[in-house]
Amino acid sequence: MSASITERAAPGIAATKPEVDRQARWRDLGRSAELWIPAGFLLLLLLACFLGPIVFRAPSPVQGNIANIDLSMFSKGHLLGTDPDGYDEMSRLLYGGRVSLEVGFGSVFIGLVLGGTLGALAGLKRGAIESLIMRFLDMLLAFPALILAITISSYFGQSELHVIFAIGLVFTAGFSRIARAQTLRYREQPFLHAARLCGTSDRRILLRHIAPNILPNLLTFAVLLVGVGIGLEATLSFLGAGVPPPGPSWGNMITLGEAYLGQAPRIVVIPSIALLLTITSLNLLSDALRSRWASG
Amino acid sequence: MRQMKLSGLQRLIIRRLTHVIPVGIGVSFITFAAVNLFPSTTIDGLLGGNYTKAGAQHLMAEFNFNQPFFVRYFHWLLNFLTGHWGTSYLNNLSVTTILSERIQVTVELALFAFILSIAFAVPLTIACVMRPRGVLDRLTTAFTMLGLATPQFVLGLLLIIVFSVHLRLLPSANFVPISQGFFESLRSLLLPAITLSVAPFSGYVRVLRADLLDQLQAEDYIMSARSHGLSRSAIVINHALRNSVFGTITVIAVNFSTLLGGVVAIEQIFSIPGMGQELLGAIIGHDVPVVLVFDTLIAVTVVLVSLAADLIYAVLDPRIRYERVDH
Repeated sequence: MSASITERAAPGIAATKPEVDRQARWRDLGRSAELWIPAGFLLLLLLACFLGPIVFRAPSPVQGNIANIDLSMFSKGHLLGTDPDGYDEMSRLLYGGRVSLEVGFGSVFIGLVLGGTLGALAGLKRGAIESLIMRFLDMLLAFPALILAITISSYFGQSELHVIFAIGLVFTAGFSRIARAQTLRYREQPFLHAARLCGTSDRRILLRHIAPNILPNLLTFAVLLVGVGIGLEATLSFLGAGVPPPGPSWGNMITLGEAYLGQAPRIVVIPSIALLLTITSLNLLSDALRSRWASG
Repeated sequence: MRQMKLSGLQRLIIRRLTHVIPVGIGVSFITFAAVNLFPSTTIDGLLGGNYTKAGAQHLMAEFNFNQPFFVRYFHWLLNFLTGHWGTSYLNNLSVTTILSERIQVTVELALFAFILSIAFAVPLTIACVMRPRGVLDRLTTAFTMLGLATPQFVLGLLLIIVFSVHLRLLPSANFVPISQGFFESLRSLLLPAITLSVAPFSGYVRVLRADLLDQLQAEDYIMSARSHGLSRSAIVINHALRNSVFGTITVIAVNFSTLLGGVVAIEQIFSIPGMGQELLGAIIGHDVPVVLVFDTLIAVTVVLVSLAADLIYAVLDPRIRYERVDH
């Protein structure tokens, strides 16, 4: 109805309309590509790492064969060759990806739950509780992430679980800062006053009223931090303070390759590319989610 | 009671200092707890294959591990505050000696990396803002995206493969101390400094670019400058840049901590005998006195840098001095 009026009133506008439509369609396509290309890559990576080795019967990542040392790429039975210990590179890449993803998501989960709760509590309660929580987090933030993670993971004994715990603790501070800032925005809103006047318990307010509102912001940050966590795990393992060798981990693969930089750079380059692609996808995904969900 | 008259800046300094002291003590406690909660890990690590029950008991007694945790902590804190930093378990050198040998190297590396990152970030960002979404701008955005996604040790190894192994342009090891020639020393540190500077560089470019574009689009004084016929470059350099400094200072303060963390991995890869290499060796070798002092000093430095950033804001922007700050 309204379209026909504008057409009659100003034919010029109607003439440019398909052009505008096409632009809008390209923009929409760009926006969904922004989201789905990194998301699709990550989904493929998840499938490849967790199902791939089972479906394709990959050789064990920690059982090498002396006869198969240093095979080049595309050798028979070893798509990416073998490393100087005779382990199959492809298999180590996939099993290492499992470790990376487990550490990335695991540590972010710890940080999100712990930090989100502490931050929301600080924002809701204010006063002494808030000061106490924020001072504690200031202390955590004072340590460079890498140094805190190395210290904790090596003194608690090296294992994948301790790496997850150490990185999760490092992330707690960041999550709680965001959770607190977001909670403060909702604190004085009418719906929270109403909830409080009804005598709703603090726990219920946190879970049913605050959490749903602050989650989008926390989740976009979480996606970003999964990438940071994967990078930290690789660094820890590379430095010998992460997943104990010969456990497959992209960081451990790179450590092994460091001694052969001149002869076989691929041993360093292959896991490096995997790391780069994974972390870049997570960063892009976080950007795309932020432009959709986040407020302020 | 009549209060002493203090200026806004003085009041801010006092308020922030009262925060620094408990945080500093807390930081030392966290380090001490992480390293000392399980003395048996340390004993096992130090003895390694030569583990005997008698040897373990001897070490427990020698390092006072038999005393209660809090007694040990206060004992250590008192010694730390009075400058008695103990001796290394591994080589019997005093921690003060080790620190004085190592700190110069790390400061040189960190400073070099910092200068590189700023020296490239500011002019490049200005050039990008001249033509937003132009070719240079898009290339820079893509580069910073990669720069932020690459773990520093990966970048270091890739640079070694390209510049040391293939092109043979720059050394990958052989650190030259500054006492043996300033430029030789810089040359030996060039590759590690580039590696360390890429991530902070990317951070500065992203923040500064977003800030500058915000200023250019939204602010009245830009409109007024433009209506007076000033060129875009004059507006950006003389007007917008000044007001965009705040975001960049925040990122510099935050990056300082990342820079100190990065030093650990980078010094290891390029065999640079600095604090990071010593700290990593100490953590893995269970050299408790070194770890305690280094970790605490690093964390306290980070706190002081963020204090400095706050004070710089207050000097630059009088509004901040008089604002009531919650935290």
